[in-house]
Amino acid sequence: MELELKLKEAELKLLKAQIHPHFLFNTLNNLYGLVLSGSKNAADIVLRISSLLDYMLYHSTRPFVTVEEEIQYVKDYIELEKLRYSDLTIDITEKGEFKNHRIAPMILQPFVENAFKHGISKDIDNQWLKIDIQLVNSRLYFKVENPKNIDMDMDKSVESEGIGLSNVKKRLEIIYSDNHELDIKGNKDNFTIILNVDLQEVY
Amino acid sequence: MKTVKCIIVDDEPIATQVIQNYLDKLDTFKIVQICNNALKAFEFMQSNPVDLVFLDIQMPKMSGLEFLKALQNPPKVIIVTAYREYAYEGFELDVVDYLLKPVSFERFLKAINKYNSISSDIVKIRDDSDPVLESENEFIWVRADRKNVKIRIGDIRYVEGLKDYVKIFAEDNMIISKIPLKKMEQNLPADKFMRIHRSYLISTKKITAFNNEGIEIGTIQLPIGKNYKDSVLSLLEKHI
Repeated sequence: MELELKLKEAELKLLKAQIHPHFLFNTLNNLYGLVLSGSKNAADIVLRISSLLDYMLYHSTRPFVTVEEEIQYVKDYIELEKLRYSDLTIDITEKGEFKNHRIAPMILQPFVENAFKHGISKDIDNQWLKIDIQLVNSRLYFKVENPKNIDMDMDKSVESEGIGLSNVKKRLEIIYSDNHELDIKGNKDNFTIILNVDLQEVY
Repeated sequence: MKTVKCIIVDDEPIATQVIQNYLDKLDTFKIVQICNNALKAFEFMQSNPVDLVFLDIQMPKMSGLEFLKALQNPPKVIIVTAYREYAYEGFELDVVDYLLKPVSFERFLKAINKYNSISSDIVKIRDDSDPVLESENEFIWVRADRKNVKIRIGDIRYVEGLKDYVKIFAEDNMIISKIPLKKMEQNLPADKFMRIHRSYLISTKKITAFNNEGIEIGTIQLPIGKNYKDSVLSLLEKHI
């Protein structure tokens, strides 16, 4: 009962933290710019926004989605964020049968959002993102690496990790209490998170 | 007309292009630099004169607001951001306008119009097809005594030209500003003001009497210039 309540509470917070209004407005502004200049990319961006909203409004309200859906959401999010940068290198590695396993929605994206917010967006000369996703024997391995913002010391970065990360940590504790490991580490150049979760198969 | 030197400070390339696209449509506004962060803008402004800055808020290294606070003699600034929540702070820092992304061209023009109103010359962009701007046209701003002074157009009785200066006789006061009468004439609505003499521009609705030689506005008598006589009299006949 208490667990259910906690979960409910976190879910509510999740709903609030789902999308930052300025992300949406910045994205719309970029779309507006693409349309003004007659870019062919505009149509694709409309579909990405649509897919992102569909996931957030409908799919993410379910307790579980397929890993494939969750990863698609991460990709849509990255495609939209990418518009904001002129010189961003993205490297995504995937391995596994993602549609055969289920995961709680909105678990992976906050880590990527965090990478943009506190890493990539802070340093204009060094913008890259590396994501590694592997699903082996029902165990999901998810690694996000990004440049560490040089202006920020370690204390500050923990403090400013924001509602997104602390919320996803809480949800991981509730949903995957003994079935996950989260490792967050930074050296002087990079910031890395590694998440391991034991997932359920789709029957 | 004097060129307004603009810089755009925004880290997002497409957002920059939108502002660039808009400014390209305005003849008097010229982009002298595009900076993808505030520090670069800071550096550029050390050695180059800038009249107007289009400033994003959320940027790496230094935010737009931090940048603004750090400037000793800030030029005019128009904030362009996706963040709704900093508008108050922006206006506390005396920005000309606060635009929210995505910005329409109409809204952008309104900001430009605001800039023109408070910059030293009373240059206004008039677009009669645009109803948004109509209420803005009720006032003009003139530079007088090292200040920008707001004058209600309806209060102006007549304007007297003195070489490069004008005396603006309003209902309650008289203002002297360094601007040629011809330019003043261009900036007042043509359907409400009439040039009657090389040195006089009058508000038609303030006329209390006239004959072939002159016009009276209350107790003031003003001559009709030889070269203006035909056009003035035919206009006045129409109004009777």
